[in-house]
Amino acid sequence: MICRCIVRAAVVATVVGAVLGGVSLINGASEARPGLPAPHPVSTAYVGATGAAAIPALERAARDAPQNVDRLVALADAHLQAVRETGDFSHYLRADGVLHRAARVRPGDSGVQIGLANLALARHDFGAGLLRGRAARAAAPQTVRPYAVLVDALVELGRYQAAGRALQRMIDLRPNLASYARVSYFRELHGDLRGAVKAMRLAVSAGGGTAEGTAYVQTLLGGLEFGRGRLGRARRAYALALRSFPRYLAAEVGLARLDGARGRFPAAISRMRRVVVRLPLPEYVITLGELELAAGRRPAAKEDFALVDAERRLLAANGVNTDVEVALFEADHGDARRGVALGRRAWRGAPSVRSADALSWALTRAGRPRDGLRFARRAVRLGSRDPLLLTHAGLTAKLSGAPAPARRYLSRALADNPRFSPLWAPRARRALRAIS
Amino acid sequence: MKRGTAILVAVTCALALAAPVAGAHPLGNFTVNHLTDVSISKDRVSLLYVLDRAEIPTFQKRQQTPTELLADVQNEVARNLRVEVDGRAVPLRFSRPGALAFKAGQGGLKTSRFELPAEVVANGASHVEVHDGTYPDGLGLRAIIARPGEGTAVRSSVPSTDPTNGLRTYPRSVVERPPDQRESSFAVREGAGTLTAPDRRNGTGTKVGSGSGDGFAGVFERAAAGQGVLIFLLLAALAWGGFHALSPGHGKAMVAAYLVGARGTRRDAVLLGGVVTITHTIGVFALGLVTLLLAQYILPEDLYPWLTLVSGAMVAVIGVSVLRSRVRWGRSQRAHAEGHRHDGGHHHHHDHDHHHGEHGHSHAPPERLTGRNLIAMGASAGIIPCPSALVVLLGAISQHQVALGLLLIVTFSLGLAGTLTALGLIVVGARDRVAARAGVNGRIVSALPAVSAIVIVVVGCVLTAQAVPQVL
Amino acid sequence: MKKVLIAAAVIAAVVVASFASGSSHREAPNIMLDPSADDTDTYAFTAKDAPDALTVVANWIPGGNPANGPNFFRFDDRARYYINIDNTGDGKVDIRDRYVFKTHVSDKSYLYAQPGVQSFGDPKFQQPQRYSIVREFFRNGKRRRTKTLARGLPVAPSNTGPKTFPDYAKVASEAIRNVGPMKVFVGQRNDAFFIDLGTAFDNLNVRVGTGNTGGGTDTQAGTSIQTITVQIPEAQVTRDRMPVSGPDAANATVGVWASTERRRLEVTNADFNNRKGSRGGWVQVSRLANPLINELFPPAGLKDTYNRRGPAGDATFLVPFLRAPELAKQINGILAALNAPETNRDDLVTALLTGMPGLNQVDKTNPRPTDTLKINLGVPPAQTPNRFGVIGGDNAGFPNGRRLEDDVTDIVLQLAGGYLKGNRLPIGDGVDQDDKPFLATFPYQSEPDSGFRQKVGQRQEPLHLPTLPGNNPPITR
Repeated sequence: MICRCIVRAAVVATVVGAVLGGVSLINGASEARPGLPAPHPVSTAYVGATGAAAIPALERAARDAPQNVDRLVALADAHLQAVRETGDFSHYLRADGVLHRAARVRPGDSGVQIGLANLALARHDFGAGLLRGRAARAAAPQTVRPYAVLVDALVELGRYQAAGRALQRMIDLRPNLASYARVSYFRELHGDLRGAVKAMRLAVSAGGGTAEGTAYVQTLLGGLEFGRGRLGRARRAYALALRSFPRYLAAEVGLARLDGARGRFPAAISRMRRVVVRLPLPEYVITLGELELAAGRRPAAKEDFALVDAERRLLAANGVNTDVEVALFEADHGDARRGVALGRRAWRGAPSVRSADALSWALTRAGRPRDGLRFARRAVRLGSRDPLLLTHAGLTAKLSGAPAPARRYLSRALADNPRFSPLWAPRARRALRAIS
Repeated sequence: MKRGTAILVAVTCALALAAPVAGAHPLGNFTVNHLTDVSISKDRVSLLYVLDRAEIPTFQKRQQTPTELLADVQNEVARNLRVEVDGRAVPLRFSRPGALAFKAGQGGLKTSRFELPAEVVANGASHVEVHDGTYPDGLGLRAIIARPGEGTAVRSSVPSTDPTNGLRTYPRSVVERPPDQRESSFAVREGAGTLTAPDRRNGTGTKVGSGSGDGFAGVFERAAAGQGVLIFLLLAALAWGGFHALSPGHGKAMVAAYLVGARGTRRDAVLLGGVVTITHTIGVFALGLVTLLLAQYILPEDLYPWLTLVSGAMVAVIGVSVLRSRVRWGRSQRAHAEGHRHDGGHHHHHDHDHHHGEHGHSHAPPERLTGRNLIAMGASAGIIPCPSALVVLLGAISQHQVALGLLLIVTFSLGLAGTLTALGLIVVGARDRVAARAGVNGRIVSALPAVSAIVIVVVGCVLTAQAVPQVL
Repeated sequence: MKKVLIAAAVIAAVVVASFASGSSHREAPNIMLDPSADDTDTYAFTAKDAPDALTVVANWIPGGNPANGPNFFRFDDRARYYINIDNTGDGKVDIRDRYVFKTHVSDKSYLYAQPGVQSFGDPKFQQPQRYSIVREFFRNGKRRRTKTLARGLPVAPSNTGPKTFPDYAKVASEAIRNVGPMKVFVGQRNDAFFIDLGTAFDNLNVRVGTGNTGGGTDTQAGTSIQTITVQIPEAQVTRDRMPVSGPDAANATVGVWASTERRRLEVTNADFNNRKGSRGGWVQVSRLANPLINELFPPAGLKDTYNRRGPAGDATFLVPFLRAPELAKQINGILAALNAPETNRDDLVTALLTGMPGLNQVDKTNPRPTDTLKINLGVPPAQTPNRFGVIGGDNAGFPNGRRLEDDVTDIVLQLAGGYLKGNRLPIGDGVDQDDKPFLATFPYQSEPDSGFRQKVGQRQEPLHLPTLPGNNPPITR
């Protein structure tokens, strides 16, 4: 079939798109240059290129038909995918420009709304992501793509029931890598690690037409196996991710955590250092710093945390502070009161279990474990088995004088993978011993 | 008259506040951007490698001294910037040292910009390739730019235009589609220094930010390369200094305000200009000297905030003292009107240039420019050296052109002072005319100095406030 | 100033985004591509060397770039691949063969293969994939019984290059298997589809008439696909389980399509909560019979729907879009003088969905529009096939089934332009044939280009005089 092209989704951008583009060229006759063969507009989209590799051809295609929304959407999608592949966030900027161009032509277009929803989610504006997702669904109710952003937004907003319903609809419409991976995360959030692994294996097996996509779900699978204490399987999953997408950062981070869990600090630290040199995301730097701490290299950890603090200042300079990671970082390694403020903001913006955890832990670290416990209960309300979250809840309960829940949380934290973190697992163990 | 004052005050404040506010790196805080200028002459290939690290990568290297940083960059370039002449890899030579400059970025962080000249020997090359394999992992822009050489006709695979002006500015077109050019090839024939290069599409656009557009260092480089004439250079330095004085944050607002308030004379304005010239020159020299001496320990850019802080504080203090004296004068005048005696504590240099009937007491504002005042003002205006002047000096020193550098600095300072003096003269002239026309309306004239004192305080506070976060 | 402000805002957004993309929010891939389940082409024909069998070639996983290592293409072990046959004409499946795969991945190495693989069983080949075939029998859409036809058959590997496979042809030939009277080949092949996705359509924009004089670039040239190629004796697929006596026999025509199913999941795993096992089930995620149908006729918002549904509902789902095809409007948009009829296109419905009277209607008394490849097994294979198939006067080609050499792009354009209503247009895509000659014998599709010397999308069709499908009336009877 004509659009054996890779991309069912890009069907639009391809065959029909080409024809439509042609029509618009003819109608707006000024751009038609009779007698001259037009450049190949979409050819490389047909030969397996996606993401960053497809951008030049899609850019050419979009330039040839500047009013063709489908081509613009395809280009924006390629930019969004390129962020995932390269870590280069400036692609967001470019996607933004392309999508706004498309929105001027056809504002209600489902693809445009989905693209804008993705950008909103990337900026942690989950409310806007939800609105855009709904607009996209309204524009194309029979398609599966709007559900992806809908589900993501609902999960981040802490509206788990609605998220579950949307997700069920999504996978009923189309089981594929995107829906399997989301089912897996949903199950993980609810503490069903086994079910999560099962769904993620389906995602891995389905592939997704991009090496990065497969590597991504492999990495998530590695994380799940790690969470269940199956370190060998986790390592294998990370190795396979690196095979399908060499130097994949998330998988490198997974391997470093694995080394850390096994007490191989020098290996873990040097791997993590390489990661941070390539892309010093706060999250990665915090991981590195905590490895340094666990290895007893306090000065080095201090340096790392100084970097995170610098990044926090950048973030503040940009006027946005909704990051749960930063709230937790402040609670652990910075200014706990600032952590409380950040956590509160995160919770107000998106009352998810993750922001509940951040707020509760920041409150505890700021010397208010009783207030913290209220939010810790919200953080574990889905039945999460996330060991760090449970450790936070356990320590919070202990400090607020509630030994029974503390014991429950802490023992659950250590149940699946007693070596989940070189820094936190020992703390959880000590606290558990102290109670018992 | 009233309106004139208001406009002057407004302009003054606007200028003071418009001092450059550092923005985010246009390509993102994580980026490591690099660009290589390639020019092929008959006997050599000259390269200028420019590296621009955004806030985070700069911060990650904060432990290293400038020397170490430059050495690191040179190592990376030596290893991974590959030049092939007629199919043969030729090692780079670094005959001239590189330069490093820091610039304030976002969130109190700095960005850093490196320039590293290099050369390879290539006698009668016909095909040259340059592969940029440096910093392969970092995000950001990579460009290779062709420049004409001497005695050759070069056909280049890469463009000859650089929309970023050596990674100093990032126009929107570049931000939207940063080049990722790591390969280049050049066909070379004998010729008259011509270059044929492909057009860069969308090479123009509006400026997005980062970078003050300092072109002086570039002018100097071209001159040092033997392409300029000394006279032209000096004129350029003079003009540049003059224009530079107009860029915000140069104290001229303060000087103007002061002169307005202080009823200076034309002679005072000229004198002040002279003081500024001298102090600015001394400031640059001193900073240059200190920089050279302390290069191992302190980054010259780290001194700027301190200097700004010091001079800002000086201005504020002067403003406060002027204001205080004025307030006292006002009070004393009121007291005098009520028939009380002067407070014994009044030891100001009151100029009795305005008498009231038989009392014979002073009702005029208390100031006349004293030499001490003038020098303090000039010094605080001039002691903040402009980074571009310092760049010129350091560049000259690094290229063993110290004398030229000094000369240029003096010229630059002269230009600066010239503008300030001119401004002062205009203000003085305007004031005199205004005063003459206002004539009887002495109250406004006498209020003027108080207003200007407030302006001085405000300017000083703004300068100080800008400096404080950078110092902390 | 406004520009500066906008720039500042966007930059701020980038910075925020750069921080935000930590693990703060799970950025599951949004990519909706699902190539491993994506049916690309289905062919159904009577092969010259097997006149008494139905040959079906069903392709999946489009755009395979042979040099795609380390990611090679394979069927998904957790999906189900089907070849479906409707021999009653109601659009419901009567017989379908289910292909299920299992890949062995060596624990020792994650490499696809070590150099010098001599045969499928060679231990140097570290990711061999095998499959089994289960035949399902239906009556009135209800499954009556199933029968396992084969297990553990080898899948021809990806042609990674001469160092890995010094004799690829030999290794691949191991994948040709006899299953009872059936012959089957599963694995990688060169894509038999040819089209100029780029230039052809753009040429239509600017210069009417170029499409039928060659000059196009086969953008599919050099790409590979995964195929299930099977030759099933007529008697196994006909309505009455009898061989076909001739083109007029009542059992002569069958409808063929391919489809893929994926496992459905309960979002909250049932067996986690009550250990009763999940109410999984399977969801059809792709189907394909006639080429171009889903691409050109339903609107964008319904393309997923097409893939979820079976042919039985096409009478209501698809027919409206074929009766008033957008494509005809687009052709007229190029040049109104082309005069493609835009409404009442029952001719199009007949050609593509219902089957042509007297040629390939499955149920001659009550022909229903269903998107299946309808092939009259009684029509003997053409000695010199015409790439325009039926409208070129060659009744053994598309839309009577579909052969590898049929130029379906040009045919569908002609049909949409109103060929059957006498409106013969000089349009086409400028590509007339595949980049590599087909094999005369099973499995017909040529060997995939190796990753070592692949050239993707580079074949240029030589220019030639304008061609028209032929002057014979398309339907002779």
